[in-house]
Amino acid sequence: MKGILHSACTRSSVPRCAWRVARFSAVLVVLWFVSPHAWTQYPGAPPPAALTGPTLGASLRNAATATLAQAENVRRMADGWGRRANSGSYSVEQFQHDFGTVQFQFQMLRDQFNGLGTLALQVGSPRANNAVAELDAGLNIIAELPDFLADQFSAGSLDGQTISRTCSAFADAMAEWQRELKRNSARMDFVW
Amino acid sequence: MKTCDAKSPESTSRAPPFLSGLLCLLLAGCASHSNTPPIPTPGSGIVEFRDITQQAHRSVATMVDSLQTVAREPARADADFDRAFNDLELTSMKARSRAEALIARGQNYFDEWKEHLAATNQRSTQGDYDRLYNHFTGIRERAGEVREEFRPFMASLRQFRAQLDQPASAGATNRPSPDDIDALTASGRRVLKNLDSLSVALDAAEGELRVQQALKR
Repeated sequence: MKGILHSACTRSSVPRCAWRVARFSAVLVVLWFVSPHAWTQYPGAPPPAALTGPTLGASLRNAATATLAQAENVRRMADGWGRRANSGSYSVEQFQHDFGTVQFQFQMLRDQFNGLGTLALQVGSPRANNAVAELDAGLNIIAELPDFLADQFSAGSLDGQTISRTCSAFADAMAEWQRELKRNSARMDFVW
Repeated sequence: MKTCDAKSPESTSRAPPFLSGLLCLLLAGCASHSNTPPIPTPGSGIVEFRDITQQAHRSVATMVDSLQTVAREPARADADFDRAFNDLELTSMKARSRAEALIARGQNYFDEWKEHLAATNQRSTQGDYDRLYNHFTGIRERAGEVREEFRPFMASLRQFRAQLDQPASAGATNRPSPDDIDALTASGRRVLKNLDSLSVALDAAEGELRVQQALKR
């Protein structure tokens, strides 16, 4: 399959393509700076009021359920993105749209998870804090996959097969992360 | 006319089953759904990390073998290669996230392991603590080595896999060369070596904990 950037950039449209890549790269830089990093010791933003329950355990369960639902949302979006990218007519515009949508949803997942992490810190147990740090590190590692696509795009060497394969790995990684979140519920001191 | 005081034989005979039913419901309510999560078994964190490390080791070893297949037939990546690559993405995420958390939290991460010592009936001595902490320090160093090698290996591997999809017309500069495959294989072998060291260190920590628990029984 042809590189999606190459297929869209003819010799006459090089300045337009360069502007498009620069604009897309600027968006990536902004997204990078607003993303929280290294969830280790300090509390993040407080969880939304809608997630709070009568007890800390209930609040944790609500926050975990919301986080899990958002993770499933990201997984389904990555899966759909990968299937779309497999079609021969997949364009630069479609890539930019899909990339932006998934990044936005992934950021929402991070926000949900930060709420859960803040609650888990209130448990005050090393087990809960370690579980949060491990899950957070997992999200950072998963984020390497869309970052890789952005790098390939900026280098002008991105093609549909690479998008499709990377999205498939992204969706599988999200499913694995969901399983890890469920498995860690006891460490974070709540039951499903 | 019946009054409230006048209890029929029917009503008195129904009362005990009704009361016992109510009691059963109340007791069932108390016992059916506890909000207390099960406490993880002592040492389970160390054992889990070791299992994850060994899984990652197997995945990297399979990947390195697949790289040799591509080196023999550089035109394409076969289904086995892609399966190994996808499997590695998942197992590496688990191993790397453990390593990252352990490194980032440092002493605070050890507090969870310290709980394992307190899980036995008898008091742990300062010596028990020191020995387990020494194991932890060694594991942390090895986890750092795994992190240093694993991330660039995965980044290079993704790049390499993308290059394999480039059409031959893309030119020699875009296609992976035998030197690229050798460099990637060497990088994979360094990851394997570091995972081995980490696995041995985790084995030793688990052994230490098991001995301490056996002595206290």
